[in-house]
Amino acid sequence: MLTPPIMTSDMLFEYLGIEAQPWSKGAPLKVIGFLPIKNERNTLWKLLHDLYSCTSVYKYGRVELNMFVTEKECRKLMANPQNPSLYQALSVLCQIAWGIKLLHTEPCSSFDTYTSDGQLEKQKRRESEKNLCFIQLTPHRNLFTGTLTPFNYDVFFHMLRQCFMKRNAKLIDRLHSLSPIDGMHILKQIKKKKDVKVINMYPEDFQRLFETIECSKDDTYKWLYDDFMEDVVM
Amino acid sequence: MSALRWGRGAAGLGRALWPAGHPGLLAEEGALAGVWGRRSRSSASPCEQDRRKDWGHAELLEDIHCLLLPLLPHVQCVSSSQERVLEARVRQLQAEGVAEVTVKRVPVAQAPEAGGGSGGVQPPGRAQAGAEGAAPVPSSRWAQKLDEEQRLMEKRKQRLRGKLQKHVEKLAWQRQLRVEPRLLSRRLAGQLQCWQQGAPRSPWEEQLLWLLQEAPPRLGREAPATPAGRGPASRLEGPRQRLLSFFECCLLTGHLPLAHHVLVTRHSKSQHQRLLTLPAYNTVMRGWARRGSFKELVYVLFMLRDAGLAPDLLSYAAALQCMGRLDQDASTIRRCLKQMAQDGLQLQGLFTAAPLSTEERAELLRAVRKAKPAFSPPRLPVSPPPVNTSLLLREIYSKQEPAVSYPRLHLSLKELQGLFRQQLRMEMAATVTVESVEKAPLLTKEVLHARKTLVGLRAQWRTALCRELQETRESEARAAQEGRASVFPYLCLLRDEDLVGMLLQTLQALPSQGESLLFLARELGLRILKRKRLRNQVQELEQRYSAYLHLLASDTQVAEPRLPRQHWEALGLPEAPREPSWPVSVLLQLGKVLVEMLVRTVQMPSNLAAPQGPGTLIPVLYHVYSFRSCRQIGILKPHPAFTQLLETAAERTLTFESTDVPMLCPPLPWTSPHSGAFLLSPTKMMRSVEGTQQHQLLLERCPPTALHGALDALTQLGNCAWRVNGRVLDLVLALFTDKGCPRLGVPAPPSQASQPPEGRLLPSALPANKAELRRELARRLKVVREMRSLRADALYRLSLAQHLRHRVFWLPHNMDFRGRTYPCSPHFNHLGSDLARALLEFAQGRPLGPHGLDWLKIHLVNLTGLKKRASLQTRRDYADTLMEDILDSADQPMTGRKWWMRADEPWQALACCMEVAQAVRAPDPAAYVSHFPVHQDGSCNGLQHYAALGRDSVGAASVNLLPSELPQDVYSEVAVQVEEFRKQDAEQGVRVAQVLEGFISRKVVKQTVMTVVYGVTRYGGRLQIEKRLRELHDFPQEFVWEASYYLVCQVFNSLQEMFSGTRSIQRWLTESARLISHTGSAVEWVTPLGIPVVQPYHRDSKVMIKGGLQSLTFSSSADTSQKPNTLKQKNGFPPNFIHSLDSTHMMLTALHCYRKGLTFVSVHDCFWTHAADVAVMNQVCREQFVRLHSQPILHDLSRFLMKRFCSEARTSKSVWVSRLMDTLLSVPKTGTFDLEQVKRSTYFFS
Repeated sequence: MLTPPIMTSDMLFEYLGIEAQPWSKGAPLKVIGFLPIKNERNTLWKLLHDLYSCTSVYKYGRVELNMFVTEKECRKLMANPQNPSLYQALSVLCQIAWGIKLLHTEPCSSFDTYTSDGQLEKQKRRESEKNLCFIQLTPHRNLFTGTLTPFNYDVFFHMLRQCFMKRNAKLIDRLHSLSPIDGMHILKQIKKKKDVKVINMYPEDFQRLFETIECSKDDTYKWLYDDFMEDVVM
Repeated sequence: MSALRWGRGAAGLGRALWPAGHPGLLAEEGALAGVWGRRSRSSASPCEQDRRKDWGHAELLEDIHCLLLPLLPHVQCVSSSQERVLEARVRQLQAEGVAEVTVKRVPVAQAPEAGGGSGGVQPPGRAQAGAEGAAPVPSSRWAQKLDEEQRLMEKRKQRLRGKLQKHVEKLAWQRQLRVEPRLLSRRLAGQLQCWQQGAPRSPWEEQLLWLLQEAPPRLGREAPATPAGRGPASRLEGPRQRLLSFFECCLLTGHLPLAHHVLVTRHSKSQHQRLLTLPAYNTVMRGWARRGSFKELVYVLFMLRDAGLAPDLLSYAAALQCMGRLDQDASTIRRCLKQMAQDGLQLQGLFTAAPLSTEERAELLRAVRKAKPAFSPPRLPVSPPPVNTSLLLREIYSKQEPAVSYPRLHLSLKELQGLFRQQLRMEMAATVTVESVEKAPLLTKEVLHARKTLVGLRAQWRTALCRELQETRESEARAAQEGRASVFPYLCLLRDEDLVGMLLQTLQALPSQGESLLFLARELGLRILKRKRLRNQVQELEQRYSAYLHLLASDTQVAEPRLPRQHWEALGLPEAPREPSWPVSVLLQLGKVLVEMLVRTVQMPSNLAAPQGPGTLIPVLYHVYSFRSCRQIGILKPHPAFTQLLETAAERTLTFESTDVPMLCPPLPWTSPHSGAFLLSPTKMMRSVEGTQQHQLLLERCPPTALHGALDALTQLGNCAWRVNGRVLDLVLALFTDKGCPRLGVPAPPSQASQPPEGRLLPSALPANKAELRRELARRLKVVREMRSLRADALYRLSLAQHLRHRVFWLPHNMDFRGRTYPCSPHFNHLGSDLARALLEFAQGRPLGPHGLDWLKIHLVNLTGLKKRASLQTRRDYADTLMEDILDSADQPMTGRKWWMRADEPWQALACCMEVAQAVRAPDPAAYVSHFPVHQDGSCNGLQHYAALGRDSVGAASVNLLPSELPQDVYSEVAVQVEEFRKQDAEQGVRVAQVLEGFISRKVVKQTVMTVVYGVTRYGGRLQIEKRLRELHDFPQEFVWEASYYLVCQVFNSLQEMFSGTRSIQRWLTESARLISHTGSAVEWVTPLGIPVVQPYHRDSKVMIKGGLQSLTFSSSADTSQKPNTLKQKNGFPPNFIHSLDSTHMMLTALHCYRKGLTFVSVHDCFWTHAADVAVMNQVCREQFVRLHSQPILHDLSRFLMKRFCSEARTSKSVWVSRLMDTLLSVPKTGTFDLEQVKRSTYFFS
């Protein structure tokens, strides 16, 4: 049984001679690995925070990840209004951040898992987790070219979570708790009908919605959000 | 017809004359009573010929009336012509499909007999039979007649309708209230039916007796009296409590018919019936008894029986009370009493089972006396009043000692009476408006405009909220009418204006970053609960209070010296009945309904936010979710434009609840666990999280004398008069309105926060830089938020201080579940920080006397934190050498040498400097009248108690239980002991011991030693030591983990060595608690003073309120239906037990000091008194410590726990019980320390 030596990524990168690259350049490195099966979602949220704020590995530029994730999670990441039951805030954030490519699907039975003390873990997967998907996550080159920046990404995160809290509600109703700006006006600008529902919005629509509010000229107060409302890791 | 109307009118009048029970009666109800009053007067004159004309009135009024007003059960036969009209009316109503209630009510609309008084009840006669309408008769003739009538009377009807339209609409829901029960037991149902169909020989009371005697047992129903079990029963407990609380509140607000309706509705469905408990039936029955409505009472009794319950004392009390009111004949009552005796219920119990109002008592007595003329009820203030005879308190209550001189206030009777009226006025108003001490803004045009806008908006909101409130109430009433226990009655508790005012205040106080919905809902619910008045008889209170003041005033005499509570009890009026507390779910639901109202209603024009925008209305409050790790929390956030508006307007008033500010007159003495302190607002003697019942239940179960010690101690602490130290306040205010001074504890205004770096970002800046900037901004925002909340705290405190300047005030006290005492007013009291304490001084002065000045000086040195290990003499001399600095500080605090600012407790030191300066400069310092409180602190008080419990000689010496020349310091001693162990280990070659050479100091071990009493574990202790080691710069940091682990073990070993008894007692307590918890109970004990304690630590239970804006989930760890939380029970027991001992010690000291005429207050283990009395207080303090620990405390505890937890061994838990028994029997052995030595120890408290 092999235990990898413990090392922080800072030290490792220095050791390997990897240097930070501007966002517009290609991938400075590619990572291959597994998402920890027990808390895939939390890890994904952490990765997204890192990515949108350009911290951790994303300090080095557009790092490409090649990861095994459970099939269930994979389907959620790639969901859109076509499959509303899987569609959620995480889907939007992932799709806006990354180009997601499914490279391979492999049944779980091909893998042996070990606990931290070296014991072979018993296979007790539910049906939904019987496959692992190998996916490639390449950060979009143009992610930060518009209004969205590492400076205001948290507002974007908040907006999505707020919207998906009541996913079947009309967007106009959720807008009320996001921004004091007249909701109808915003909907008109993003060319959506007034009764559009949250789950009917595609990821690009959300991005446009965010940009519209963020760029609106006349209003003193654009968002009702402040940092108090999320305990983002600082 | 006239009789009919007259009857109702009289009933209406009677109803109006009834003691309202509560001021918060529905407004519209009051209006109705008015209508009735007028009508009854006009119709009192015979108007037979008018009967058809009057029909119009009757129709409308009747509907309202029979729902609102109880009907007198005396029957008068109506004349046959009237009967016919009635029958017709009945049929008409049936045709219209109006609910049965109305129909049934008509015939029993009865009037008292002209003769009044005597005579039983006559059979209802034909009117009733007809009214039942059992067999509908072809009605063409009547219909015709009615049509005619209606045509004729159309005009008049309409006019009347117009008048009453409003009421009728409002009361639409009340039309369909059910009165008659649907019974599940066939036998009972048959009985009810045959009785209703009016066999003339079976009047109501026959039914009553029949019901009382016959107990059709229904098996499979658990006895309602058993304490809440687990499993399904505990799941029912929540809804049961809610329902009961609903009934009680209905009674309080005068909505008895509604309560009855809900009871009937619930009862008629077997599923829902499980939620009805005996107290629920009794509550409604009692309501009918108060109104003297016999028929409804019997209905409830039917249901009670139908549910398979057996009537208890309260049921009998209700029935008898009702009979008393109706002046029932003796034979019925006699039979009733006989039955009661057969049921094994005591007659005396009727009067003591539940608190009765004077009037209820009188009626009950009247009934009983009819049967037993010689009966006399147990008198409430039994004379001579029972006296606590416990060993510890014997001296306090002994009458032998002649030289008792209880302290008196310095105010005259007249002044005190004036103060009482001020306080009364304040509590009647429920809120106090205080001017803010924040610097007034320049009155620019903007400010004025903002203020004007706010005033305008508030006026709009007020009307809108009033309207919304009425609508909400309507919809809640409809919900209740469907049989749900809605929040309707709670919404009727306060006047609309008050409720709306409260909501607007909430809006005003909402922080700009928002507040969680759960918190807001709970706060609002609690505030309504608190505002509910306890007493209504203000006049009675005033008289009694006035008499009470004779004990306290400076210019009055009383026959014999008595404690305040004794005096109050001797004034001998029955105490106010206790208001039950509400379950958390009710609080939350009520609060939520109100918050939702606020969100829905409060709007402002959008052009406040965007001046160019359209002037549409936008909401002021937003409901948004905040995401904390994996939970979402719903919060309410004000529109930033509204926050801005408030900031610009900078209004200069703060509003407080009247119970949140100190009292302006001496508090009411504590006479029971639920009466004392504030004049009108109910206050609990034992504070607890709302929804925690177990403490209150325990307190109520103990004999009244057992609590005397606690009651008197709390009363005495609350009776200390205070005033504001004006000079200190001036200095603090000057700093506060300027830039603040965080170093001295005066928070700076948020504008003083460091400005964020240049906010502009070049678009070309790197993403990473932008992220960094964002984090920086977030950090700063956080700082600003913290500053804001600190600032608001200080603003409240200082504004209150300013408000109370030049006044005398009192801080009423209550205690936590262990007996530790706290002042009730949260913002301004003597418990707070250095600054808060420095603002207060005794309102009553005392000449310094020969030694007072010395004590002032010593106190000053204590406050500086210097010379901790020097003798008193040295400290005093040290003060003398510093006299120049002291005088300079007093004279030029802000401009001079500022010596006081370097002290540990700067503001108190400054206040003390000023006092010393004044005393020194007085012509005769000994005669100088000082108001300054001098403190004496226990040195590591927890360990003192442990050392005394375990009689540890070494330990006792180190915590100053032994007399010695110099004060001992336990921390240094532990450090020395640890160093010794380290040396041994270092010699043995232990690496970490060698590394630690020269690093072991007092500071490293202090926190761990201090907290060991409170149950700190190796884990926590290691973290504490790790922190200290990290602060040592020259310590090799790579050893921190190892060294801190080593040290914590050594600290524990040293403590084991020094306090061997202590450690074994701690282990014994922990183990007992663990075993008790495993047997399935929470740990309980009784303090040596007699206060029952129970640890409220259970597994979490969740209360969920669904629907509306969002679901609210409230989790509580105090739910007794859950299993105890073993970890908390076990870790909590040793510290809680020690706290219960230190509180006992404090209370004993307080009581004895009071007996000696001293002013005494405490902050847990820090005792305050006048400089002149310090020596006396110290002596009392030591004596009482010895007295307390001379008791076999641990053996008493063991015996109590044995009796409580080992007597009823349930089979499933018998293993735990037997192990518990073994543990309890092996009480730890104690050491050889001689307790008497404490009496001579100067530094015990110093």
